[in-house]
Amino acid sequence: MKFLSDKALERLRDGAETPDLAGTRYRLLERLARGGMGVVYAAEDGKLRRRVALKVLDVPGTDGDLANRLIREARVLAALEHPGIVPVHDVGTLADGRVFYTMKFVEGNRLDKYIETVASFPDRLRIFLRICDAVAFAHARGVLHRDLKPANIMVGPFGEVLVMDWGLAKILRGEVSSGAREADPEATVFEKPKQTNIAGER
Amino acid sequence: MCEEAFQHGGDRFPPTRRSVIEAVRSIDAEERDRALEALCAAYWKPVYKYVRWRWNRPADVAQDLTQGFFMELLERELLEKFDAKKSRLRTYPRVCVDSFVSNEDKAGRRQKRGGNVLHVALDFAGAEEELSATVMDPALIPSPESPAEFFEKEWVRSLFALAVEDLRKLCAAHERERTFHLFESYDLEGSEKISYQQLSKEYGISVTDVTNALAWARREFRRIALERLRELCGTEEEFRREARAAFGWDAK
Repeated sequence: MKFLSDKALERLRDGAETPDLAGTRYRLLERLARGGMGVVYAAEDGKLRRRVALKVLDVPGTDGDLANRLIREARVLAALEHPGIVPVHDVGTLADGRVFYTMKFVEGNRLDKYIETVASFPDRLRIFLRICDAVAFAHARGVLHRDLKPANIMVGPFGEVLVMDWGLAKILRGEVSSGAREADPEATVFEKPKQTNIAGER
Repeated sequence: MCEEAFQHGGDRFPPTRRSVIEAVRSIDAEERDRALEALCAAYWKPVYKYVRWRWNRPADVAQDLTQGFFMELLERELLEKFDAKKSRLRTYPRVCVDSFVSNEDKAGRRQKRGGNVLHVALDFAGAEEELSATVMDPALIPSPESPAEFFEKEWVRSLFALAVEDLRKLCAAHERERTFHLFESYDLEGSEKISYQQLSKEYGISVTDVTNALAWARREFRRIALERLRELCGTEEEFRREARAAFGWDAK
């Protein structure tokens, strides 16, 4: 059996992690961040010739649970069309079976980094109000983010504020649902606001 | 669109599947033998190297201890206390090895077990060659965690080497030897300077062919390595945890 050097181990790890985008419209550019269940890359959409962010699972998740969660996250984003919520573009499966989705590539900084450079109170308040707008919109659609923190907020070069990472979001039904991870991805993000019960979610 | 549209294959993971360590203790002889074989294949080399390195045993003693360790798994229920909820698959055998070697020392045992009593080929000479390419000086240990890190790294090396061997066989079976040679040249032996273009010239194929061949080989390697890992794990959660550790996805 072949001996694998430390260098070979690293190459194998890199090769196994890097998503194979053959057969998709995307070309991989660079890795941006790692989350709880996957990795976010910068990629180029070859058809539209624009940069997108591509989120892909790392471990395949043989019971389909992780894949369902990622698909569900993409659907939550698709249902929440708002200037303060990152828009999703596409969802699909790579040749190796991993599920991915693409979303708007947001240039700028995470709020926890950005805030260090923003000294004025009015500017901070403006950002806070925009976050509130986005979150209020989601609540009105019956979706709770549940992981709201500065690291999940992006501030763009023109001051745009975007709430990211909806992987732990909870979708409310007429009554309190049993939890995001068990929720039906086909379910109630499309519900009318009057059918949801935010107050019951405690 | 329904979930099924995105699913790859139908290999759902049984939620209560026994880990290979648990299966080694099975009363079903067939299941026990199969589990022991899988366990030995994945762990014998890390165990041997660990005994040589951490316990500083000469080669012949380490060989006996390695064989003895796996025999004891069955005979003395060395893994009786394994609990997948509390222990890590990649670390628990190391703890057992420490306990086993320590007990052998206390008992003053030096049992020449002789021959290969296991059903897995143990290439000790090959393991010795590999060790010569690895840091062996205990004085170079920078922290108390190093023995654990050493064992985990050797365990990953063993897992990946088995997967590479499976990939080689797969390529041979599908007449894709050239694909394996490209994978070997670029991913296993390649220097920083080697390029797809150089490989395309060397093999007389287009750069696109090199790209496609390497993408296929990496995809298959990943699938095989994860499949081997899955065989060792008892639950989906354990599998994810071990996969992230083995592929270094936790550390990045």
